[in-house]
Amino acid sequence: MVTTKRIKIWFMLVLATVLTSSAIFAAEEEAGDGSKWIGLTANKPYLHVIHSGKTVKVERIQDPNYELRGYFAKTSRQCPPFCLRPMEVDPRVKTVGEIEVFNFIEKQLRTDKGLLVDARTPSWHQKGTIPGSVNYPFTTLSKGIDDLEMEEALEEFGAVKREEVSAFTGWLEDQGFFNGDMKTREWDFSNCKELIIWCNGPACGQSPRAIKGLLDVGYPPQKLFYYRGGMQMWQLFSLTTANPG
Amino acid sequence: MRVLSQQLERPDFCSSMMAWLFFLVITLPCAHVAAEDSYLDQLEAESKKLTNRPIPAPEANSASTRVEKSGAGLKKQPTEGKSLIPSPDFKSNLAMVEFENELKNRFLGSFTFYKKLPQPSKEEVYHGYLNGNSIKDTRKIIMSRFLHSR
Repeated sequence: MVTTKRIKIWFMLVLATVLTSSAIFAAEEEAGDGSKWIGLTANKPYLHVIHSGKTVKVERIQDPNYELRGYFAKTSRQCPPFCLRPMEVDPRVKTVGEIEVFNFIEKQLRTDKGLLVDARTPSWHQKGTIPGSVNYPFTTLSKGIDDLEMEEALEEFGAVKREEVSAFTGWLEDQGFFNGDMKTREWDFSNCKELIIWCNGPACGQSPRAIKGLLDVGYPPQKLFYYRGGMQMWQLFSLTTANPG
Repeated sequence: MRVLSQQLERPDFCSSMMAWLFFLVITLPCAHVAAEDSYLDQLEAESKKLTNRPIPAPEANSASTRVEKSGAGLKKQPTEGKSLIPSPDFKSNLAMVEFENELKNRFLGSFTFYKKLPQPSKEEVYHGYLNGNSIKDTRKIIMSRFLHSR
């Protein structure tokens, strides 16, 4: 009786070992060179995003021999004006890469706490954009605080126009009270969205101008992110693009 | 210093200085605007070189969304025959609760996975349905969300 029980236990142990090891081998094979799927990251094969009201699957081209062709495969453009840009637009604004963009799409975009901003002029946006992006050209975002287009953009980003602020309240806010670092005399940015702003890539000046324009009107720098890679890097990694048309 | 003060006392010198100042005040902003216009012109000219309208991906969930793969010359063809209208056996424009009930009644398996999804993913599935995703696509998204949610 005892022997039968022991045999059963040994059998269960052997079975568990075999199952565990085969699962490990399978996982290793999937992650190793023999992998068939080219994912966005090691743990994220693809993602979905709502673009112009439709669900779009963002993935990479499943062909290791695929080579980029067309405009974004070009290595050089006339400089100036299309000169390489520094990594930082402003020391207060964080520069991000593709993985941060993926995470942003899955978190801030889905919860409506962020926007992916294509800061290029409409003629560029119309020819393909990063899925989930909305087009706010830098020409709009670098306008002054009193410009109607800028006001509309700020409202859509979640900023609220303020009533007249008393001198005392203003002074207190300047001292850091009442969430003063998120407010200007004209605008309250307390509930504004986080923005990842991008354009054509490292040699594009459109998103840096948009970021500078937003900083000038008081948009909190901690809510601004610069995706320097832009469309060029997005396409270089063969990531899905969407056409707004 | 003496020379300068003498010069300043001369009316013709002052008027020429004023003229120069006036010229600078007028021309500097104009130059800035001209530079800006030139940049925009160059941008527009450059955008015309971008002619590779990428090709729709077969994995797209709707035929009307022109979802694409980057680059030109891919051999993949557009999705064909995918309906924008929800499957006829699934009513359109349901409220989220009704949509969930319908899913529960008709596709219990998918609903089991759906209810385990985080709220943003549930909303995404629902909005996809509202925007015309077929039930087949809706179920596919549910599975994808379930398998890849972290």
